[in-house]
Amino acid sequence: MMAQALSDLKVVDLTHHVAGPSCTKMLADFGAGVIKVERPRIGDPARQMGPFFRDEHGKEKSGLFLYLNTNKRSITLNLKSKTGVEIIKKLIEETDVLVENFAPRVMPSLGLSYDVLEKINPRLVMTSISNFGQTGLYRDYKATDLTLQAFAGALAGSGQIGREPYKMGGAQAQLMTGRVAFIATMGAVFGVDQTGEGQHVDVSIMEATASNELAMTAIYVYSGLVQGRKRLAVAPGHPAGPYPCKDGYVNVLIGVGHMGDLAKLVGRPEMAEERWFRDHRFRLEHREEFDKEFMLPYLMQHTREEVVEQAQALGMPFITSIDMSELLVEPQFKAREFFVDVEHPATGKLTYPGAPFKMSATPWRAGRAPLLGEHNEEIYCHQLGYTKDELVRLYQTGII
Amino acid sequence: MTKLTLEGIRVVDLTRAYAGTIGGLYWAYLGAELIKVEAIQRPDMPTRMMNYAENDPGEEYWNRAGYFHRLNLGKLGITLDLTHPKGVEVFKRLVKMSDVVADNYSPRTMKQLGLDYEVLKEINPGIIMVSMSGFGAYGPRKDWVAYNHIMEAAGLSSITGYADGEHGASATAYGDWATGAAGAAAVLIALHHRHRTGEGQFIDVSGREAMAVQLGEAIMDYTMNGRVWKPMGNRHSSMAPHNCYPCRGDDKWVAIAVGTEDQWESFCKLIGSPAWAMEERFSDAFGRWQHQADLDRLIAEWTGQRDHKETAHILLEGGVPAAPVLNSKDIVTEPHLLERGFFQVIDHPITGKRPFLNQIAARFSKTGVASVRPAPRLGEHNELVLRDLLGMSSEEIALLEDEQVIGSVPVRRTGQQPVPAPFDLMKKAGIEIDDDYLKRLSEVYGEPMGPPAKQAV
Repeated sequence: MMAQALSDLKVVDLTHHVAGPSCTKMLADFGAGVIKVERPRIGDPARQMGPFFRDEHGKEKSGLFLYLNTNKRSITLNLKSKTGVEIIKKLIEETDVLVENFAPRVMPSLGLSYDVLEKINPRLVMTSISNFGQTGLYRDYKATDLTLQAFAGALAGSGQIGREPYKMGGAQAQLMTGRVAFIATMGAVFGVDQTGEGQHVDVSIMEATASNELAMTAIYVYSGLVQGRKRLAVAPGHPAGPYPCKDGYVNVLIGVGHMGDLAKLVGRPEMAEERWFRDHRFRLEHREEFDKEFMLPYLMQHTREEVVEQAQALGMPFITSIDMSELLVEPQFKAREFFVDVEHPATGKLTYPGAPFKMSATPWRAGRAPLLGEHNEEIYCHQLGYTKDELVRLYQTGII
Repeated sequence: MTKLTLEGIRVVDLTRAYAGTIGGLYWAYLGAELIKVEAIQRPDMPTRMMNYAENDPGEEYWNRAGYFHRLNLGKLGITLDLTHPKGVEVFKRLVKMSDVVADNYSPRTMKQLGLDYEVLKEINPGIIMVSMSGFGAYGPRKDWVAYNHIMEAAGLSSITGYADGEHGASATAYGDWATGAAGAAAVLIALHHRHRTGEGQFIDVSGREAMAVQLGEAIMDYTMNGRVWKPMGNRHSSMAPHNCYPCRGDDKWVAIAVGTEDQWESFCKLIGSPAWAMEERFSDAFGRWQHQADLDRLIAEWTGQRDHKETAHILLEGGVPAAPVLNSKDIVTEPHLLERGFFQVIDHPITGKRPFLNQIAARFSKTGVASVRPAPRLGEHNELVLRDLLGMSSEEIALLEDEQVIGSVPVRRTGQQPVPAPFDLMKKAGIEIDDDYLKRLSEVYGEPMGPPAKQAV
């Protein structure tokens, strides 16, 4: 089988929950050998977080865990034990990348700070992911995805005036950070050959999420206009935004120079040169009439699918917002075989999201998440040289 | 001096507007050399008309746009008319000397220009080409037009918004970010592979797929249990309180999320141990979740007259997850981010000094992050690149300029006239515009901000 792009990389993964694992997932899915180190008997806390397969609470049935930990191997290890720390140090000798997302004081308190590990392996890239960074005023503050989105400006423009701003659905601050940490880690890895040296990469969820404020902050520093939720009462153009149709809503956006196409779309091509379609100011001032005369008669006769297909065929960026059930059968996703089926001992075959992008020479590969401690024998005995007896003793003494 | 990690890597950057363009920023901050290719017939619009410095289009409006400046930091800029055979010839010579070609055109464009991967691979077998589009390079919908909201319509919108309302949206063009970041990540993988094997490749980024991989939780609940997630405001599946609460002032809010019993106890103390906080129905997480509508109402009464930043910090100091809802002005003056070195002050020859956040959002202990150059003026580096990199003579370059293959002034103005944004109307509508922004930034950053004439504040 063709080797994957990152098959030469050995990764020790001390991450848990969402941000760290989403970074190491991408490493694993493109071929890196990722050893996920979990706490004995409990494992990654994400194993306790739903949604659960058939709503059955169990450490091998968390959909969150199953998705974020594909293609990784799992060992259990008590990092608070001296033997545990020694085992990590032994692994580090042959490791290219270490990723962790503990609170900043944890790794140093375990005797596993970058300063220590760098001496064992000068080529090591160590990526530390934390809420606010390894340094700074907020370093030891507690946070959740909601509060990090708030801190990062992601809520300043969302929702309606008079009501609370709402967060992006899902754990987006953490997932965004996972992607940013992957890019930063791979950047550092690429540099190891230049210099022969690894380095410590410090990624904070607040900064990674705030990096999405690039445009809004530029607007402020160029003109003083502050991001917020108030809008000018005057719409930029008409028609635009959500419109009802036969079986739901479509999002209408015409695009510059396409008013003639809109006339065609709604079955009134003869109107293309008339005032209704040529004079945007007039149309804006009489928008209700415009909608009643031209938009609704067409829309209410056609389904969302039909409207969007017909509009897109004329070059207009209409879309309909689809939910997860519709996403699974969306024609483009299907034709590109985006979703993949993966077998797992605890759940049988399930459908998962697939490749984040398609690479012609080194494609993404599907795989499953590991059972807790599934690879203890492989790593401790075959790789690190412990005997079977010693493996049993490691279990009995609570090291693994 | 330690080399930056992507130093020596050259990218020919055809990306425009926002989505794909973000990808390039990551490589720039890692030290790669980016050559942005526009055309005087087709400059990067409308980006070069968005957000003029001091809201003034000025003489050369196409070189004064803050939006463009932000998105195109770290790039050299040339112009080449790729519909002209000579433009194509120069482009191909550039590709021969480069490592990566990036575009976010519609999938048929590069083919129509005669510059698709099959052609570029002949010129440079190791070339890495990344094409970023909303729907992807192939498939029945590959020719559909995509903007940010179309990326988000692939599932994110369906789980974002008020519980009683329609599908919502991110407020920060998250769909565009997902597209560009996917391209950035993919190229780093491809560079690693090429370093080991010499082999280049073609990368097909669909923005909607890059979006869908961020929706794993929701997708799994559907594929495992047939459950379709709907928007639920700020609610969490198990934590309560978990919401944004109104504070004193114009549209000010604080986010509070209590995750453990210890945090709940601290929270009760910090808000003055009111009687309601001691009610039995709030005494454990299960009960708090069930009664969170009432809980939210009661907490809002407490936060209502308080300052959002002060309130958040009192809670944070007490070990409770909280945050003020910050806006763009807050972000660029935020003490923690300043201390972390999250911003670079970059001096543009026309619009002067402004702070910009580090897109790579990471600190590197040995190499640091690149000091990125200001965004290029249109065609600014034509001579530098054509003469110094491609070895062309002054005569050859002059000829290209005569034939309008290259240049530095847009040939055809777009349909829109360059006009300032209607700040008067916006202020009347209650939109916040800080007239003292340059003074404020100068104080915070400790050096005069803005163009030379404005720096004497």
